[in-house]
Amino acid sequence: MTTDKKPESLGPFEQLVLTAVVALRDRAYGVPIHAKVSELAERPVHLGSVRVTLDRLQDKGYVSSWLADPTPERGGKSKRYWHLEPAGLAALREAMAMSHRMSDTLTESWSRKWKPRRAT
Amino acid sequence: METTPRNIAPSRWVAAIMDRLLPPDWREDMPGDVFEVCGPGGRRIPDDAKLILMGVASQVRRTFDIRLVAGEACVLYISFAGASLSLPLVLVLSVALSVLILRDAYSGQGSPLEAAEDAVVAATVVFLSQALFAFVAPWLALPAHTMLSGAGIGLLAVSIWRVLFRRIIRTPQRPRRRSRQAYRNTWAINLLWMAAGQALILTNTDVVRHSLPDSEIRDFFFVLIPMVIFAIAYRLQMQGPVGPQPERAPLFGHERNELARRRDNLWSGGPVEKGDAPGSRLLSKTEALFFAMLALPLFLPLVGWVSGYTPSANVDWVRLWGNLAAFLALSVLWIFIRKSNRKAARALQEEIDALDASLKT
Repeated sequence: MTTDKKPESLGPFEQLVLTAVVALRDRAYGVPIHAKVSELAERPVHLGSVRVTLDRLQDKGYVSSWLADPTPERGGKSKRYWHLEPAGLAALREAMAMSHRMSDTLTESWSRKWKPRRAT
Repeated sequence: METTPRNIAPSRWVAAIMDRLLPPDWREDMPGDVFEVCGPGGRRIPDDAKLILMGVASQVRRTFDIRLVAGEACVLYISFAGASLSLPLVLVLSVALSVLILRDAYSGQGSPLEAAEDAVVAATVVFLSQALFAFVAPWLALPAHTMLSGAGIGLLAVSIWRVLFRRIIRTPQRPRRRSRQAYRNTWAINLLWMAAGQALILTNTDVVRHSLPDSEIRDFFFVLIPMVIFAIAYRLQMQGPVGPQPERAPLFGHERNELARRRDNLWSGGPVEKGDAPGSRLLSKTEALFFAMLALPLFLPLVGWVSGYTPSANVDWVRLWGNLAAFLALSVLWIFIRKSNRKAARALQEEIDALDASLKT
């Protein structure tokens, strides 16, 4: 039985969240991820939507998380840091490659000169 | 005009309520994120409420296990066997299942005490909802004696079911344990489905009591024959492509043979090694025949009534519609059961493959 499979395709919001996790590296916890996703999406995003997506990505094995020590500036609560897993990286690469393919195809289609059909 | 929500709540109270209502997985860090974003005085009730709803929905999605819920539905239905399948019973089952699904999202380790607690909470909410229905819309409430006996049996049965089959998602399991648990869970659901099917077969004879007065013929056609067909289908399934295979020779030891035996016992309907091949044609026909035999006693009185042979007074309409609904539910569940069996068989096959690979290396 073969187990080699293409990674499950990512939705647009999942791509944004994964990109934010990659961009923030060691600082990837809830608040900066939320800010980065809002910045990438160019619209306000709810904190909960980011966390729901991170949960889903964790279930898929694309990210993992760990809790840091509680701090007083967060009301005595911990930060949950998120880390990209190899499967997540593969999925993100696949999404990027697909975007490139789509972009190339559209660029080619749109740049083609319009030719009138010859009358028969 | 765009409006911004007003900061209306004393933040300490909101934080305390949020801490209590958020699912455990979110409780450790999300309030801290909100605190960091809004500051100590910047809490907004609509935002917090939305966050809690999102947290609950996300956790329900993560903890929802269709096998567990389907099993609970069957267990509860059997517990309320005294009541016909009617709107009040559907409401009771829906309320109980909703509470249990929510409890799954909030509770942690799945200990026996927690399972009992879940059942008690569900029973309490069901009683409260029934009290409300009895006050507001009495036709939506179950009779008190049915409710009491059903809740008593249901409390015990749901507790036992949850102790035995509740998935604990927080403790990652090794693939081997997972496949065995999948096998056990799948068989538990198979057995429940069979029990429900058996109950339907037995109660179907009541539906055709007037159409077919001779009880021996009735029992032969509508009880014995469906059971025999089902047994044949199961036997066909066992002797089919997933049945005994040459690799089951004691080449790889007892463990491998045991895994193969379990895989073959499941109702997977075809070889799991080769993708999603459908079951043999004979097996599918036998299954279709079984369902046809299950439906026949429900359609006989209907046909008799339409053709004018059976007077309306001789048809037990409540039983007929109840059984028809149960038949439809069982038919739909059968699709899920086939899928579930196939999935468990595949998990076992993966374990066999891993064992083969490890033995080769």
